[in-house]
Amino acid sequence: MILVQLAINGLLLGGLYLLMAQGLNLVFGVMKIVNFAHGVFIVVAGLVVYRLYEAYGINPLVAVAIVAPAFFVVGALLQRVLIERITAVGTEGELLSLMLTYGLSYIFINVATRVFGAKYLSLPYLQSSLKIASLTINESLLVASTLAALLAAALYVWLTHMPSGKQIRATSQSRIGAISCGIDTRRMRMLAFALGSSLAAAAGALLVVVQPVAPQDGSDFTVLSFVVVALGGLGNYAGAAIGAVLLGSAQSYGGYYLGPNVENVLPFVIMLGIMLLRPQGLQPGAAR
Amino acid sequence: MTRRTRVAVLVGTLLVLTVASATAARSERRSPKPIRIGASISQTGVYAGVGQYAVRGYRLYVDLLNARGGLLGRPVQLIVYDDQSSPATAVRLYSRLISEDHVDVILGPYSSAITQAVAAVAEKNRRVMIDPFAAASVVFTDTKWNFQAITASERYLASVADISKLRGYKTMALFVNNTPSTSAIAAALKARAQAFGLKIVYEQKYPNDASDFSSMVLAAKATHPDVVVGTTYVPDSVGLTRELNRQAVRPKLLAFSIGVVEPEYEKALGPLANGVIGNTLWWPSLRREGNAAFVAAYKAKYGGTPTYQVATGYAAMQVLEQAVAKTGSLDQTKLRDTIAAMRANTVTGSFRLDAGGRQVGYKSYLMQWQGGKARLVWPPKVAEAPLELPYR
Repeated sequence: MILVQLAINGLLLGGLYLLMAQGLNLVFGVMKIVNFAHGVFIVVAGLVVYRLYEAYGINPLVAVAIVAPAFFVVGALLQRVLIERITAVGTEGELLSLMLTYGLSYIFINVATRVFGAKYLSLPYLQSSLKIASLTINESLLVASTLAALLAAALYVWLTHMPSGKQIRATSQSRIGAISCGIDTRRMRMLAFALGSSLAAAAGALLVVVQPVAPQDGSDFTVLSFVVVALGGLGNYAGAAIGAVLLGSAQSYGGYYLGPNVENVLPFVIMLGIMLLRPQGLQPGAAR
Repeated sequence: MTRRTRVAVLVGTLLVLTVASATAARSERRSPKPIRIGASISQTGVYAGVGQYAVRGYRLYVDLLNARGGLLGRPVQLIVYDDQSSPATAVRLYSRLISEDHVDVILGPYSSAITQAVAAVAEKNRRVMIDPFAAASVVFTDTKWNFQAITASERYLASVADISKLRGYKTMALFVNNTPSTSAIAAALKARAQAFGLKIVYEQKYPNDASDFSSMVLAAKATHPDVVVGTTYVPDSVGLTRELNRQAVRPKLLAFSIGVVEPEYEKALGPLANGVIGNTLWWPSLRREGNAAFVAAYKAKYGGTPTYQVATGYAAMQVLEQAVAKTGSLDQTKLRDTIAAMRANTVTGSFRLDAGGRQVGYKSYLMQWQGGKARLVWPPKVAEAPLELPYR
């Protein structure tokens, strides 16, 4: 029974990780940059949701419908006004974009500390668990995982069946090819960054329910999301889901049998292992 | 511009400068050179949440001190830097305070870990440092210039063992955040509980950045403890409370060290906070010298009620003021000898040190959330409300 319980805990934790990592993955897939401000978006959206709850009593799940569109606009503006200005292409362009988002993450963390303070905040919502026989299922993680699965399914359908989704994939596969087919790649990059930011905001709304968050932790969530994405193979959408569940399960079992110190370093040990042995990610030869 | 106008401009400029410098010199003579007090407190990074309060104690006291005419008849200027919760940065900042800013006195940073690093700077430069945020006694091993101005960690939750004994509880589970002060809190409680015949049925250390507590609670649950104690900060006290509730672990007593007393704890948990016990080093209702004036001054400057971190910072300044007045100068050696031997009444209690500079005068208290309100419940002599047990 313990083994089943640990499997459930790992799966649910994986769901939360997928929720956090999806936006980062989309942006990487299309733009080949790791958005270093991703984790800060998650935290700031979470703190906005906290404030909406505190001031107006808005349910955090309803607040997703407020912060996700708001961050879509913020992401679109950031891309159009700042990131798009980087004219260099190839490795140099990727490096410059990386530096830009790294700098932005610092600015956002400090602005957020000014606005929200540095205290750890969380919401008293979904604090119980579903009980089936002797198993307990964490409600907040269940909701986070369900949302992660729904968003992943929606992303999959959009990327594989809708024209704009296909254009995004085309842009991610070959910029030149996409341009020559008449795709407005500038618009696609803006769409990808806006959607990525919007997904980060959705994750933040759930994260502030799951655990206390503070602006200074923003970069930690970028790193965690990056580990998930790297496990799945950067920019690989199905791989990220596998990576997230694998990571959650490893932490759940590792935490129980090897203790919490091991649990907390496992993500990085696993990532090092993957980078040494399978730098292309866990899923070999999967279509991007 | 003609030659004549150029000369006129030059002469005019010179005149203005002369008058300005004369005025500056005069105003300098009128008010004596300020005494500069320097410190670094984490205002960003992991300790920022509490650091923001810690620095308010210093600031508030300096305001009041200046309104009363300052120290030794001189105004007091406070220089506070942000060490970003990094010991290495703090060491650099204290060196800068001493060698570049030439401050007259330094005060301690936030947290035992950072104080431990900075203490060496004070020792090397032979500078007195009053440390109101270093509860771990290990910081004061082999120090001559550092003085603990906060209740020692060993006292934080020791009374939980007394309560458990009184109530006849037999078993205890311990979740220990692996920092110097939280480890010391746990070790002291464990020793006292064992001396009273309680059995420690579960004990687990975890890293400060842990956020998933499901595996630990699952393991602890199997031991069916009467008493569950976590030596924590805010995020882990919230996380553990939730996880214990989710897995239906129902101890007769649930207590955490740092975290529960913070308003954010109750805001994060709502009704789940009720019944949980936390420790505190100060309370507005305690009868202490200047406590009412302190609470009123805080409310006027910042609004709301101060936390105990504000109080310990404020009390450190009370100690400093009394020590400087007694010494009559800022001579560091004389000041050190005064502080080492003195007893001072402060808002956090009666300041008294042992031979090693460790605090033996200040005490620890317990509070409990009752119906959404934080109440002082232990010791019974000063309690605002009786202890509500068992938890749930």
